[in-house]
Amino acid sequence: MGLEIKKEVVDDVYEVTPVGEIDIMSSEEFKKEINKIIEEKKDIKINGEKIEYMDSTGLGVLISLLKNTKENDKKIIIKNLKPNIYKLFNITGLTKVFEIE
Amino acid sequence: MEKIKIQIPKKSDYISTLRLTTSSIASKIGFDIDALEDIKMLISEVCIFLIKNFKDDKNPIELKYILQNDKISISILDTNIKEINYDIEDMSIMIIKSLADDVLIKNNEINITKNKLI
Repeated sequence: MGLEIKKEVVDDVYEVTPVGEIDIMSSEEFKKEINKIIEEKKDIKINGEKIEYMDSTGLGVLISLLKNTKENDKKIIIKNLKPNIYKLFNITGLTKVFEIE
Repeated sequence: MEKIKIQIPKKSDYISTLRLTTSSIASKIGFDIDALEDIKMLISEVCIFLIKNFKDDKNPIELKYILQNDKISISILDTNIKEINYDIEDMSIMIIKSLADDVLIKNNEINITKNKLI
């Protein structure tokens, strides 16, 4: 199925919409794209409505993103996660770490 | 009771295949969609855990499925290693322990069971 990453800047916020699966096969590519976005030093909004599946490697990329944005004094918000993905954040304790809408 | 055995290369390329195969096997005993999602996640995380923490991958991973009316048990054996050590803070282990109804890690084998809600 793979992964496609859509991105656009709206009101100085980087809005990222991953489409597909963020798994062990695609998380490296996801990380590369995310690193490019970090260099822009903007607030980031991850729109999760088109993430069909995510595993622990995908969570790992988001955690490193969170560290980086904090170092740059920027915010990251995750929104519209599907229930099966939100569950993953919940059981790993990440709902307490990320700002999730 | 039905038994199924599968072996796959210990490579990340095969995890998505295994995810779909396992979901198809589990659907035989009528798990609902949510439980199938859990089972797919479980089998992926077991493989991710083994691939990431134990680099030796000459031998395949051997899986044994036991299907009963009310549950599925899956044993995942990595013959490349002798002993599975793990950190309870490991994200894969956290996911496995919370999604499975029973987890047993012994020697080089991980055993998971998922019950069917009745």
